[in-house]
Amino acid sequence: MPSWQRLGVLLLLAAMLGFILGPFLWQVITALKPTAELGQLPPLLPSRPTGQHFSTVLGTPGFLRVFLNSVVVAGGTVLLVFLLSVPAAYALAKLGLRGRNPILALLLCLSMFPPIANVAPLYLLFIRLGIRDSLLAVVLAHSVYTLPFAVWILTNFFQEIPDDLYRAARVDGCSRLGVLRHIVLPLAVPGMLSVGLLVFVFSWNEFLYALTLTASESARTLPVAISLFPGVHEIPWGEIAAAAVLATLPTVLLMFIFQRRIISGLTAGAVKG
Amino acid sequence: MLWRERIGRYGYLAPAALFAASIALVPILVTFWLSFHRQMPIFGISRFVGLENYRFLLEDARFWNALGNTAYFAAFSVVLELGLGLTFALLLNRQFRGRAVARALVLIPWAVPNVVAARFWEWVYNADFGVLNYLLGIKINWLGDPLWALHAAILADVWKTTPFVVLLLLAGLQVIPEELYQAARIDGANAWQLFRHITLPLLKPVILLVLLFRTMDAARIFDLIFVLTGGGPANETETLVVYAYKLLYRTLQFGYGSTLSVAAFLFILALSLAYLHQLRRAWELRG
Amino acid sequence: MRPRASRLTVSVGLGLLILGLLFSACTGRRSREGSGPVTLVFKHAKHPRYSYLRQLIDQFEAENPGIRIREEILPASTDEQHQFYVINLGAEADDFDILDMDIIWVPEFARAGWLVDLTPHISEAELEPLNPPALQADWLDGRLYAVPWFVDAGVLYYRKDLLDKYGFEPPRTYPELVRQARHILARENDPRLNGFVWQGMQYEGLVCVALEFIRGNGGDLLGAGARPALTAPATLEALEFMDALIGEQGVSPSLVTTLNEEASRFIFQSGRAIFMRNWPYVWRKLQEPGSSMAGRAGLAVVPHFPGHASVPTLGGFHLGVNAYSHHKKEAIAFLRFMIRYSSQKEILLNLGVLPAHMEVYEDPEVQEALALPAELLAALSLAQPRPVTPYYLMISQILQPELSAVVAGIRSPEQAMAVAAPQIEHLLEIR
Repeated sequence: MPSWQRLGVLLLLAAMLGFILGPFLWQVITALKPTAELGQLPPLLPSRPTGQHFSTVLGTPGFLRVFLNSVVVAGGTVLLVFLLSVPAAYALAKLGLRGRNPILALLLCLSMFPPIANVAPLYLLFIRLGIRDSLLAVVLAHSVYTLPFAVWILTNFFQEIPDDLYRAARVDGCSRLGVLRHIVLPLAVPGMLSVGLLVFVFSWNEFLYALTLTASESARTLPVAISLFPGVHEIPWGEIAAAAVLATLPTVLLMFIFQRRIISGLTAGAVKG
Repeated sequence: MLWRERIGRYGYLAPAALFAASIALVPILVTFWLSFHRQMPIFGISRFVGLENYRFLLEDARFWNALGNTAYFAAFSVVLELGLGLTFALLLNRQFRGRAVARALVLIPWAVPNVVAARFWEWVYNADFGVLNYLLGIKINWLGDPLWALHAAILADVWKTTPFVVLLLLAGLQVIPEELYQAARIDGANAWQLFRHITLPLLKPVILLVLLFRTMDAARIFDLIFVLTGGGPANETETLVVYAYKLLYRTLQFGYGSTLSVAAFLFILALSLAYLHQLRRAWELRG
Repeated sequence: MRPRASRLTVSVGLGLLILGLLFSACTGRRSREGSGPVTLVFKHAKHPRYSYLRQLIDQFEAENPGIRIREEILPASTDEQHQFYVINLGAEADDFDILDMDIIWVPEFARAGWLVDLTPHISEAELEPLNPPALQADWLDGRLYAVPWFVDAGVLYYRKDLLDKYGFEPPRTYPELVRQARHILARENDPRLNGFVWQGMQYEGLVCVALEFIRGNGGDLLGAGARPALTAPATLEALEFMDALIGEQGVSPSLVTTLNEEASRFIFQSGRAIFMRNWPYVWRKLQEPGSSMAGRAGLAVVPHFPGHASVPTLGGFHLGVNAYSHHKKEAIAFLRFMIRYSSQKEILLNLGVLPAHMEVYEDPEVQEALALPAELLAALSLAQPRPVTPYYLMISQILQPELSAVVAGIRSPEQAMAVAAPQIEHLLEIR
C-alpha cells in the first residue's frame, strides 16, 4: 500500500477513535474531578484527581448484589434468546418452511411497539403470572423484546451458509439437529457473537422494564441503581459518571474477549461457498 | 411430504413463536383495545368511543408536529449512523497493530447505560459550563435554540448507536469469501471497484437489516430527547413517543395515549415495509 | 466451537442461571398474612440526607411493637416516580403501603381513588399546626387524602458580595432586580458573568417560575370560577417581562431556556450569576465545605412587580396511604407519627428539608442549632400551591410548550396564551 494511503487510513482511524472515545473520556475525567470543580471550566483536567466518587459508588450498600443481578439478567436474557432464536432462525433459513416471510414479518411487528406503551399491560400480565418483582420477570421482558432482532439477524447469517453444504451433510446421514450443531453453528459464529453481545448490552442497560417490573433491592439492576443516585433536586455528577464508567467496563471487556471470534469466524473454517 | 416431517420442521420454530405470542401479544392487544377507548381515571371515564381518538389524532397539530420531528430525527440519524458505521467497520476489518483493542473500544458508547448517556450529553451541551462550547471556543445554546436542539439530539444518538451498526456490519463482512477479492485483484480491480462490486452487493442484506432495526429504534426515540430537552423549546424537539409518554404517564390519558402509541407503531410499520421489500429481493437473489 | 465442550458449558451455565432466577424470585417478598409483625413498605424519594430517616423509623418501630417499616427508594426524577405510581396503582398493586408524593399529584391520585380517606383518622388538632397552603392540596371535596411532611418554596439567591460592593440592598421588585443586574454587569465587565438565571427548560419547573412572575403581578393561571385567566393583562404583562429579561433587558442569558434546577445552581455556585431563582435546597449546597460561594451568597423572597406582593410557588412532598394496602390502620399510624411535633423537629434538624409543621421553626433548640435565614421562613409563609385541582397536571402539560415558546422567543405571550387558553377551557369542560 502506498504510504499516503496508509497515512489516510491512520488519520481516519484516529478520527474515529476520537469521536467514539472523546465523550467517554470526558466522562472519566468528570468521575475523577473533585466535587467543587465539577461546574467549572477551565480547568479541563482535575487539579488533583480524586478516587472519591469511585469509592462512594463501590461502597454503596448492595452494589455487589445489584451488579450480580445485572449479570444474571443479561446472561439469562442472552441464553434464553439463543435457546429460542437459534432453532427458529435455522428453521426459517434452511428448512424451507412455507409462510416463512409472513412469520418473520409478524415476529418483527411484535417488537415495533414503543416500550412505554406496553410496559403497563406487561406489568399487569406479570402480576397475573405471579412473577412481578423477580429477575425472571426482567429476563422475560428483555427476551421478548430482543427475540425478533435475534431471529432476523441469525436467519440472515444462517442463509449465508450454502445450501449445498446442508444437503451434502443430510445425504451423509446427518440429522437436522446434527447439521445445525456441526455445520451451521460453527459457520455462523461471527453473527451469533454479534447478536449475543448486542442482546447482552441491551439487557445490561435497559431501564424502563427493569424499573417497572422490580420493586425491591433484591431484584434491582444496574441502570435502576444508577437512577437512584441523584436526590430530588441534586445530581451528584461525579458519582453518576463513576458508576457509568464502572457499568461500561464489563461489556467492553466482553467485546475484547470475543472480538477475535467475531472477525475470524469464517476464515477459521475451511469451507467456502 | 410426510406430516410428521413437516411438524418436525415447525417444531424448531414453535418455542420462539409460542414464547413471543404468549408474552408480547397480550400487551399489544391491550394497547389496541385501549386506543378505541376514552380512559381517564381522574375523570372516572372509561368507555368505548370507537374511532373517535383516531379522528382527533388527525386534527391534533401536536401529533403532526411530533410525527415530523420523529421522521426528521430518524432519517437524519440513521443515515449518519450507517455512513459512519460502514466506514468504521471497513477500517476495523483491516490488518493493523492494536486492532483488537480498537475493536473493543469502539463498543464503548453502546455500552454506556442509556440513563447516564442522555444526562451526560445534557452536561456536555450546556451553553455555560458544557465542555463542547469550551473546546470550540464558541457560545451556542445547543439545546435551547430551535435550530440546534434536534440536531444536538441527533449527534448524541449517532454517538450512542454507531457501535451497534459497526458490530453487525463487521460480522457481515466476515461472510464475504476472501477468494472473491483475490480473483478481482488479479483482474486488476482497484480498491473502490472491489468495494463497489463485491463488498457492497454482498453486504446488502446486512445493511438492510441494520437500517431496519436502527430505523425502528430511532422512530421510537424517547429517553434521550426526554432528558436533553423535554421536547422543548416549544415542542420543537417533541417526538411521537415523548408525546405519548406525556399523555400516558404525566396526565393519565390512557386512551388517547394508546392511540398515539398505535400511530407510532403504524409509522414504524410503514417504514419497515419498504426495507422488507428490498430485503426479500436481496435474499431471493442470494438464495 | 467444539460442540461437546460447549454443550457442557451451556447446560451447566443454564442450570446455575435457572437456580439463580428461582432463588431471586423467592427472596424479597414479604409474608402477607400470618402472625409476626406487620411489615409496611414505605416508598419514598431520595431526599437530602435521607439515610437519617431510618433513625426516625426506628423510633416509630420502638413505639409500635408489631409494626416494621421497610423503605423502598424511588428514582430521583419526579417523572419516573409518577410513572411508577401510575403503573402500580393502576394495576391495584398492594405491595407498598405508604406513598411519598409531590404536592401536585395528591388531588390527582385522590380523584383516581388510589388514596385512603384519612378524614376520620387524623384530628383537627394534628393538622392545625401544618402549613395551611400545603394542607390545601390534601383536601378534595371535603375529605383529607394526604398530609404534608415537608414543604418547599421558590426563593431568590443573590451575590451578597457583589450587591454590597455596589451598595445595593436585595431587590424587592423585578424592575429593581433588573436595574441592579444591569448596573453590576456593566461595571464588572466580565463576559462570563450572568445577571439572572432561572429554570426555563420545557418542564414543570418553568411553570413554577412563570407562576411566580404572574402572581407577583396580581395575575393567576385560573381565575374566578376556576376559568383560565391566561389572557388577562396581568398575566400577559408578566410573561412579556420574562421574555424581555432574555431579550431587550439582556439580564438573563438565552441559555436559561435549557436550565433546570441543578444546571442553574452550577452556574450560580461557580460565581457566574448575580441572581438565581431556585429552591431552598441550594442554600445548604452553598454552605457545604469546598463551596466558593459560602458566605458570599444571600437569600431573599422572590421579587414581585410594583404595587403587588411576592407569591413564591409552593412545592414539597406529602404522605398518603395506598388504597389497596392490607395494613391501612398501621400506615395511618405512621403518617400521624411523621407529622407530629417531635418528628417534624427531627426532620428539620437532621434531614435537610423544611418540615410542614410551622411551630418547630420557633423551637429554641432549632433556633440554636440552625441559623435559617429569616427570609426563608418568610418565603414559606407567603408561598401558594399551584392550582389545586386533579387536572393540574393536564393544565401544566398544555402550558409547558407555550411558556417555552414565550421564553424562547418563538411566540408572543398573546399568541401562546391564545393557544393554551381554549385547550384548558376545553379540558375543564369535560369535567
